[in-house]
Amino acid sequence: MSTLEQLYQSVLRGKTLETKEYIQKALEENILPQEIISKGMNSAMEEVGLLFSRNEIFIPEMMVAARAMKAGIEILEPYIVGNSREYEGKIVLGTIKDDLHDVGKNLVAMMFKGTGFEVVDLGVDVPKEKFLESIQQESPKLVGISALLTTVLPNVVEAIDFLRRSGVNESCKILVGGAPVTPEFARDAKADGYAPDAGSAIQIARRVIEERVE
Amino acid sequence: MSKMTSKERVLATLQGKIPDRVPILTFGIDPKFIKKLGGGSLQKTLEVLGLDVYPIYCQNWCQGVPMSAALSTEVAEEMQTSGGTFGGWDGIDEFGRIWRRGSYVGGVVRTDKDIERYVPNVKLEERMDPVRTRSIINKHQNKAFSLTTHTGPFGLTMESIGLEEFSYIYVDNRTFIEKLLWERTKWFAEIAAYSTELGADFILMGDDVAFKGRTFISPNDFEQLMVPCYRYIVTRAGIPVIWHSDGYITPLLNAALESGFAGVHSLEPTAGVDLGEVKKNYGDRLVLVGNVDCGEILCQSDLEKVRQEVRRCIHQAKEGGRYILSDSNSIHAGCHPKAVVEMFRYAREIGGY
Repeated sequence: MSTLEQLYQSVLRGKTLETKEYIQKALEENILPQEIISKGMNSAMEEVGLLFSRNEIFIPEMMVAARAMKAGIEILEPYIVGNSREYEGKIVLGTIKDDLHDVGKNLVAMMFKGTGFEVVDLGVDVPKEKFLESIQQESPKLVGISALLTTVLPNVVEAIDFLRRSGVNESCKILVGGAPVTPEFARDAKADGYAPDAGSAIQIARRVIEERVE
Repeated sequence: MSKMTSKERVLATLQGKIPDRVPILTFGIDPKFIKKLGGGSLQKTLEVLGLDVYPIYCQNWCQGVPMSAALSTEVAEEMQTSGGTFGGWDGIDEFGRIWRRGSYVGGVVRTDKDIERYVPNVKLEERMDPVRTRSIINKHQNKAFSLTTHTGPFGLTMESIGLEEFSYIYVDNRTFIEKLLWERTKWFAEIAAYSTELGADFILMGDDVAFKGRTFISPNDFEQLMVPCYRYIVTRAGIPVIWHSDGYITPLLNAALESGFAGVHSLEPTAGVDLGEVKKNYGDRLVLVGNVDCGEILCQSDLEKVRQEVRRCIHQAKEGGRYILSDSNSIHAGCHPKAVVEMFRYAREIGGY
């Protein structure tokens, strides 16, 4: 098994120490950092997302895989000169105003970071104006709005309407997710996509981005 | 069939007998809803809803502030969020959970010393107020009474550590999780046993182990970890225990049977629980409680949609008994009062056997 394959397995199985060791080994073998990230780590996190969506692994397994990924990135960051790390895209994430829950959003953030997206995390209780401000500053491909409480769903509708009227259309796709969020709600609220869980969020994000490119 | 009292109806259902009609209950009522419907009076709210089951609550505290603070005029309105029944909670509670403006945001338990600190003294009389509890039970002898509390061992263990840290410790140091779980199990079992002594007819134990579409841990792990804990609670309680959990718990229903639970509540339809399928596979051994969608149907005012939902649940689960109609989580602040009142009214109208 090659070093990158071993690295892939260590991230997939959530083995942080092994991940660090294989990254060092990969660097000693003069494998480029970006290749280590994309083939050894991003691909492992993609598999983690798929396994999670299929209920073959669960929250703890996904979390430790993300922890291994994060530890690996920390080792590699000094080797990435300037800002030359290649990201697949940028996503702005936040939990909607009046909702302080961040578990789901944090899981999604981990998955996006783990699979090569740049994540701008606005935190919780985010008003619609702050989403807009961040979109205008960061020019992301996606904005993800999370809600855990049924009572804040009207805020999600209001935020999407506000973003649309402010010109956020083809340039930036809007995804929604969270416990009370359904595909019907997402459609009625005029979101571009709905993610039922952190694992499938990546595939859905890529699909809506491709629709944007087309 | 002659009309039963609420108590007779509920007990018949729990025993697997056919009652006069499908009983009705709720797992919890948000203080903001109590203010809307009952003018701040829980008693009046229960009367308006016409429930068969009245709750016995177990008091908890967050930095000295009691759970019932949300009904208090001493806690400012802006401190009482619509996030749940804990308006006014801000800080670390007695179990090690962190609250911000009434919403749960994380946990602090990490070490053995934290376990000692954050498995609080049961303080049975202070928590359960035996004089008041017995007086209420005596005043409403035709009602069934359940200890209704959301301090089951798994959920409290996970929340008091925080989901992220819990996940890491669960993989790195399972023994710590098992230790905390057992302390929480013994704690809850004492509360359950005391409520039986006070006159409860059954226990409605809230212990969230799942969310939309999945369980937190694998069903195999769950069975190994939790069945012994739950069996201990069921044995100590000595009366039927109904297990409440949010989320997609269908893969855990075999474990529920192994644990000795009399039934399961919420059966959340939007999380993926199919009441018809559950009834077909488990309806002869578990009392099914819930499934009326409180995420959307009970939050709007089209009463025909509410009636349609009630008809669906009763049609899917009533046959053969062992069904109690309820909301699929709780009557939260976002519920529309007319929808909730109509849910229970209509269930009484069409739920006869």
